[in-house]
Amino acid sequence: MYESKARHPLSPATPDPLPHAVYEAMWDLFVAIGTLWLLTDDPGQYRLRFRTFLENRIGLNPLYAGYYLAAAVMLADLTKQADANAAYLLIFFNQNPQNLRVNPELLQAVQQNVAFEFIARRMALGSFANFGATAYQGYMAGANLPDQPVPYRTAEGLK
Amino acid sequence: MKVDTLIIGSGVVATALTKRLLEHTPQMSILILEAGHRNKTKDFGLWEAFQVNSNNYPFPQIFDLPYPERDQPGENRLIGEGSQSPTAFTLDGGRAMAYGGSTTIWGGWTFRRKPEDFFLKTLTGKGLDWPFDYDTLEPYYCQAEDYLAVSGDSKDTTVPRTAPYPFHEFPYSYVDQPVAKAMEKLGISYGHMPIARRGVSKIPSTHAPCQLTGTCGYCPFGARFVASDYMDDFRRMNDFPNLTIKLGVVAMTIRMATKRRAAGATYRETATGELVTVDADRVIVAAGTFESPKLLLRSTSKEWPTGVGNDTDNVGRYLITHPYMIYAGSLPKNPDKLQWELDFPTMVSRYFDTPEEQAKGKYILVNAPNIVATSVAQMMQAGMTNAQINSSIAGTVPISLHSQVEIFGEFENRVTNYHKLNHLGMPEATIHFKQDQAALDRIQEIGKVVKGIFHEMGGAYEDENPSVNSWRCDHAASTCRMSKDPKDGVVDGDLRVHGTDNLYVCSNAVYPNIGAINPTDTVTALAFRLGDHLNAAG
Repeated sequence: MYESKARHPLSPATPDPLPHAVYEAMWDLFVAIGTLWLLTDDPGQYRLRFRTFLENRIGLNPLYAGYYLAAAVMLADLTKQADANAAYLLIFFNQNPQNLRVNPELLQAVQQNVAFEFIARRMALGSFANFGATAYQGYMAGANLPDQPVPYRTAEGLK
Repeated sequence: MKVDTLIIGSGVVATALTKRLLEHTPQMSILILEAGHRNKTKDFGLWEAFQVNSNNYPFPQIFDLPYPERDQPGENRLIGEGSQSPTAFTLDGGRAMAYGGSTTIWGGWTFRRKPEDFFLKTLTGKGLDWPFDYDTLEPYYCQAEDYLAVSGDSKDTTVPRTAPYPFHEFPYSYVDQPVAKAMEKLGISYGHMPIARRGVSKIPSTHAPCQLTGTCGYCPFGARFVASDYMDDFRRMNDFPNLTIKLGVVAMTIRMATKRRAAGATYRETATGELVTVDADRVIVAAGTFESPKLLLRSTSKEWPTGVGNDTDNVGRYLITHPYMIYAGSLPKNPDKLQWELDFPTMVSRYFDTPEEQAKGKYILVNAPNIVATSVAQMMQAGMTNAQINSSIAGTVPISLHSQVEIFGEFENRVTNYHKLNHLGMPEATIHFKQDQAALDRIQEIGKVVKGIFHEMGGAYEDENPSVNSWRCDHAASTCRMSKDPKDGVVDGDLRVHGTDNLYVCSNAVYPNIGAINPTDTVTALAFRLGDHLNAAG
């Protein structure tokens, strides 16, 4: 009756996999979120779901393959100018003490469509717990089952 | 084309009614007409996109555009006193024009009306009584709650019930704790929110249970009832050779064979513009509070010169909705790091939803789950560091209580057809709606109650004017209201249009009043009751 999976009409039925180097650059960017925000959860547990996320974003909108490629090229260039940490600080915090050269429009596109989405996805995959909550928008906390632990923080001492 | 039953609209009424009719007579021919289109539900990629895009719906075309403004063509028209008010009645964002209707986007709050809500006129002198009482509808509420997969507190005695909810209640969340304790000190009772989120029981189901994703606007599992999902599953799992659903078609008129008998309808294929005639033994208008009366009004003939069922000039009138208020305040500190964990409330107070409050306007108070409206991700995207985020969460924290209040129908508040077509090819609406000063005063009164609760929590109160005071159409009702006497309304207690034999309206439009609570549980109950009536009629 309808497609089992939403897909942009310009996306191929089976999206071409991202070049390995692009995927690895995106993964490094995703991992850097934990480093920059002092997150204690192991990002390795999210690797498969992260890859699926990239594929799904491209499937819904083929422009995303371009965003990821542009982000990888930008990261390589910024790293060459200074180092990876300087690149991440610029992309995530707009901090640029070393005056790295970057196309500001492209930087904004990479921030909006790549880096900020990675932040939202990383939090939803489980990193939100670093900030004290048990459930979060986008996190599959689990079902509300009788006689089982409740998958979110509950009130105590109410009548 | 000729069918036994023609249903106009494909929301929860159409699905519940179709289920009831076909389980009784599987060979019955039913045609459902829907102006909107299918939206992809339960798609993991769309869900991820929804989540990373701050919960923006992936199908914006289902909503009305805002009213026209100078540089914006817009849709529909609001006229009359107060139409320029920032809190003026709005259509955009409130209803969904799609296969599945507004359940595509609903929150799933599934309250029952209280017994006194059926006797507004008798008890207050206002509005109109329902043609039947709570006990008549009670068995159908039980069926509706099963169908909608409601999780609720079966021991709650706020409203009488003869069967438990299908799924047990969601426990109070941590963010309920300060509000609940303050209410306890003030003697304000509260209870668990009955919510249409599927749980787990011994009864097998093809539908997945809620996994508490915190993204209820687009559930990746379909654990929140969406009528189109249930219709699709119902068809897939059964053999109903004579059930047809047409999407992208706009019912233009109901055709009357005689003054009393509907012959069918004429609809327009929006893709081609072709007008198509369908004959039917009976016609059920289930197109919501706006499209149902508009269709009746468009259906003029020699016998019904001002529209079917409109000899007494009641069609489209007495338009009501719930003013929805968000009363905002703040707590000076948040040492327990209360945060937005769920995407639906777990606590509600119906303490002011009582006969004593009925004349002034009953209301409910809901503790919203989004105690910290800004998510951690948004703080990170804004460039805040770990220390800044932790400090922000533990520091001064915004709090809010949400409320909706009953208002009363006025003859002048009305919906009619406008001569333009909207982006789906449906005739636009003209809304004439004036906010009643008594309701505005009531909103201020509620603010004082909320102020007391915030004070008891040790918090500050922003203003007695709620930060959001929305008169949006989400809960709009009453434009084809039920009445015993044809001079007072549009349909009788069986939902049949007065003066006709085989034309029915089933929608929030038939409510003579709305009470303080959300309408979907009741309209689902009405759909099952109508199904039994039609099955009995043969």
